[in-house]
Amino acid sequence: MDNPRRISGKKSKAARQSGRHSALSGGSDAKPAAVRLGVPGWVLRDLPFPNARTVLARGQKLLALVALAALTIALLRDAPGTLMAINLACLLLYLVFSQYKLFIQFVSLERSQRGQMPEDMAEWPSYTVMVPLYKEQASSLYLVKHLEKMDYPRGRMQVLLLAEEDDPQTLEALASIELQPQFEVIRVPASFPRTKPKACNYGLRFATGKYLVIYDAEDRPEFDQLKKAARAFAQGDPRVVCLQAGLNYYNSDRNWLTRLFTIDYSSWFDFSLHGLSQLDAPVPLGGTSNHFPVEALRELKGWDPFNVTEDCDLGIRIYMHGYRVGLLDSTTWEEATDRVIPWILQRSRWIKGYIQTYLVHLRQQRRLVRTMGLAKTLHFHFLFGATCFVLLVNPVYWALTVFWLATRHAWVSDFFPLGVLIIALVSFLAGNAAFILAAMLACLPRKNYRLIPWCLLTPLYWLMLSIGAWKGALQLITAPFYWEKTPHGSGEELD
Amino acid sequence: MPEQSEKELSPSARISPLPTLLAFLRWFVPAFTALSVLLVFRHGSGGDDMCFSVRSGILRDLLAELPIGRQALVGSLRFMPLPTLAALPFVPFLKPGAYGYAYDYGLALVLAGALLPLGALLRSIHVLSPRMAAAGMIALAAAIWGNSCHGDLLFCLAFAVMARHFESRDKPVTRALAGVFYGLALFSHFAGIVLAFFRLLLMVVRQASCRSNPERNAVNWINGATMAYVLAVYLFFNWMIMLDPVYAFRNTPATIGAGLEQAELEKLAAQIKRDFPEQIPVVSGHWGYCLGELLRETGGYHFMDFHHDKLPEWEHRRLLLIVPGEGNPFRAWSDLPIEPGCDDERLRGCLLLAKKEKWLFYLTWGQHGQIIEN
Repeated sequence: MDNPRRISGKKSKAARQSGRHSALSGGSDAKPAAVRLGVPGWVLRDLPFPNARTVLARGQKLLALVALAALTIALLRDAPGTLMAINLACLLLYLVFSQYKLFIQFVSLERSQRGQMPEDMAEWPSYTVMVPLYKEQASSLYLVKHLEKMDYPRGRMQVLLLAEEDDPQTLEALASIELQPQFEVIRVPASFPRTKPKACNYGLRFATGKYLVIYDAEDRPEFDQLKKAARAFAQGDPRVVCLQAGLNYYNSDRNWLTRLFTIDYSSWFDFSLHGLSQLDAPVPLGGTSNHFPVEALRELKGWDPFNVTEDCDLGIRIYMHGYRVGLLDSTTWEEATDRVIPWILQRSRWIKGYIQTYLVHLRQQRRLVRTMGLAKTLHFHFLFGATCFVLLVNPVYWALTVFWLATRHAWVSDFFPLGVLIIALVSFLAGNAAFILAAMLACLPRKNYRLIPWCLLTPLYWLMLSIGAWKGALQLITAPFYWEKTPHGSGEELD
Repeated sequence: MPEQSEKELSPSARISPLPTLLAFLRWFVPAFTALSVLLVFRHGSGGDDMCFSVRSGILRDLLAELPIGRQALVGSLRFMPLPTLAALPFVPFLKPGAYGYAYDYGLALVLAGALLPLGALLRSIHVLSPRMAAAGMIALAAAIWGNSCHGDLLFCLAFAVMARHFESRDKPVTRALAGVFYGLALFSHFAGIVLAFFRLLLMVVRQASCRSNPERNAVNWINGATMAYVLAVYLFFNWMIMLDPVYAFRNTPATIGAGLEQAELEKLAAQIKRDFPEQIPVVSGHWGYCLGELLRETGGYHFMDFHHDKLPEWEHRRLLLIVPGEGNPFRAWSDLPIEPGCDDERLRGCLLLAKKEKWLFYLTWGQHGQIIEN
C-alpha cells in the first residue's frame, strides 16, 4: 500500500537522509490540537454500533432523571426509610458482588496447569504486530529491539508502529532507529478523538497479516508468543477470535505501588480471566497482547474510537457476535506505573471506560440478553456495572465505619439493624479478607512469594482505586473521550 | 525473562466447574438430610439438655437484637461464635421455643461438608470404600456427641478435617486455603484455638528447618496470616461488643472447665423460690439461660456481664445476685468477676446473704439503691 503517511523500515534510512525527518516533525509548530481537531469521516464511517460517541442516550438521560426525581421524592417523604433501603440494597449488592468475584477466582483454581510449547507449523501464517505510540520516544528503541527478537519468521511478520502525526518526538525517535524491513511507521492523522482505538483502527487499514496483535510501547512479550498464538488459532475452538496473553510486570519490585499493581494484575490475569473463560463468560480484554484473526476483527469493525477502554468493549462485542476470547499460554511483561498520581490517572481512565462500556451496552439490553442469555448477561452487569458502583460507594462505607468506630454514634447504628449488620459485617470482615487472601494466592503461580506480605496493604490500593473511580466518573461528565496518557520509559528494562 | 512456573490454560481446554459441583452435591445433600434428621431426633422433642437452652437463648436474644445476645455470641470461649452463626439461617423456619434445633441444622451442614474431605483423607491411607467409611464415622460422631455441648467440638473437628484435606493437595494455591479452615475451627471451639496455635508453631518450626523451600514458606505464611486474621476478628468482636478485646479469654482455665447438670439448676431454682421469696434473682453469664423459667416467673434479670449500670433506673427492689461458688461446675460459665466482699469497682455494693452448697447469694439494689456496707 502506497501511502504518504506510511514509512517502511526499508525506507527509513533513506528517508532520514533525504530530510523526511524534518517533514515528519512538522507537528511541532502546528496549532494546538484542541483548536484544529475535528472528527474525520474515516473515524465515523466504520463505527461499531452502539458506541461511546454518545455518553448517555436520550432514553438513558430520561431514565436517570426519573430515578433522581423518585429518589428526591422518597427522601422528602421518608428520609430515614429511604436511606435504610438504599443501605440495604448497597450491602446486598456488595455481598453478591464479592461472592461473584470470589467465585470466578475459585473456579480458576480448579483449572489444570500445564506447559504449552509452540509446535512447528508447516507454514507460519502472516502476522501483523500493531503498536500505537504516543509520546513514547523513551520506550521506542527498547520496543523495537525487543520486537526484532521475536521468534517468528521475518518474512511472515509485519510490525506497524502507529505514531500520531503531531507527535514529533516519537516520530523523531523512530526515525533515528534503523528499522528492519518488517517494520513500518504509520503516521496517524491528528484528529478527534485522541484515543488509542482510533489509532488502532487507522492502523488496521494497513494490516496485511492473517492475524494481528496489539502491543503497547512498554510491552515486552515473550519471544515465542506469536508462534503460540498462531498455533492456538490453528488448533483451537473456531469460535475463538481473540487470544488474550497474560500480562504481568517486569518492574514489580520498584516500589510498594508496583508491587501492589503486580498483585492486582496477577489476580486479574492469572485467576479472574481464567475463571471467566472457564465459565464461558464474556472476557474483558486487557488492552494489549490481544491476538485476532484480521478478518474477524474487521467484521467486528475494530475498536470503538470513542471508548477509552476499547478493549473491554471489544470483549463484549466479541461475545455478542457468538465468538469467544481464549487465554494464551504466554506472558507479556509490562512496565508498572510507579508513581501515585499517574497511577490514579491511568485507573481513572480505566474506570471511565468501564462506565462508558456499561452505558453503551445497556442501550441494547434486549440484544444483550438475546445474544448472551440471561445468566451470561449477569456477568456483564457484575464486571462493569457492579465493579464501578462498588468502587464509587466504597469510600462512603469506609467513612461510615471509621466514624462509627470512633464515635459509636447511634445515628449510624440505626441504619444497621441486626440483619443489615450481619450482611455488613460479613462483607466487611469476611469479604475484604477473602479478597486479600485471593491476592495472596495470586502471587503463588508465578512464584512471586516476596509479594505475599504486601497483600496486606491491599486496602490502601482499594482506596486509590476509589479515588481513581471518582476521578474517572467525574471526567466522564467533563471530558468523556479524554485519554489520560500513562507515562512510560522509567529507564528500568526487562532483563 | 522473569520466571514463569505455571502456564495458563490453552483456549481449547476449558473446564466446567459444574461436574465438580454436582459430584459434591450428590453426597452433600443426602448427608445433610440424614444428619439433620439424626441430630434433631437425638435431641428429642423436649430439647432438654443444658446447652440446647443456652443456644436457644442466644439465638432468641440475637434475633430480638438485645445486647445480651451479641454479648453471649462472643463473650465466652465455651460458646464460640461460629456454631451460632451457622444456625442463624435456619432460625426463620423454626418456632421461638425450638431455636436450638437450628443449631443442629448448622452442625449437619458442616458435618455434611466434611464428608468428602474425610473420604479423601481415608482414601489416602488406603481405607476401603472411603466415602462410605467417612459417612459412617460422621454419623457415629453425630449420634454420640451431637448434642449442643459437644457439637461445637464436632464443628471444630469437621473444619480440621477440611483443613487437613486442603493441606494434602498438590497445588500450592489449594494448600494455601487450609488456613481458612483452621480459622473456622478456631472460631468454632476453644480446641480450634489450641489446634491453630500448634499448627502455627509447627509451621514456624518447619519454616526454620526448610529455608530452601520458598514455596512451602509462602504457603505457610498465607495459612498463618489467615489464622491470625480470624483470631484478630474474634478479638475485634470482643472489643466492639464487650469493650475488652480479651474478654472471652479471661479466666480461661475456668471457662474451659466442666459442664452443667440440669438437676443442679432445678435444685437451685427450688432453693431460691423457697429461701428468697422476696427477692428478685439476678444472674450473670451464659449459664443464666438455663434459669430462664425462674427469671420469667419472678421478673428477674439475666446479664452476660452484670454491673449495676445495666439495671433499669426505676429498679428499686431488693435483688438477689446469684453467683456460682467454689467447686461449682457452673462457675465455669460465669463471667462475673465477683469475690466475696464485692470489691469490684463496677459493683457499687452488695451484701453476702448466704453461702449454700455451691452457691453464693448476694443482696443488692438497682442503680440508685443504697450501698450496703458488708
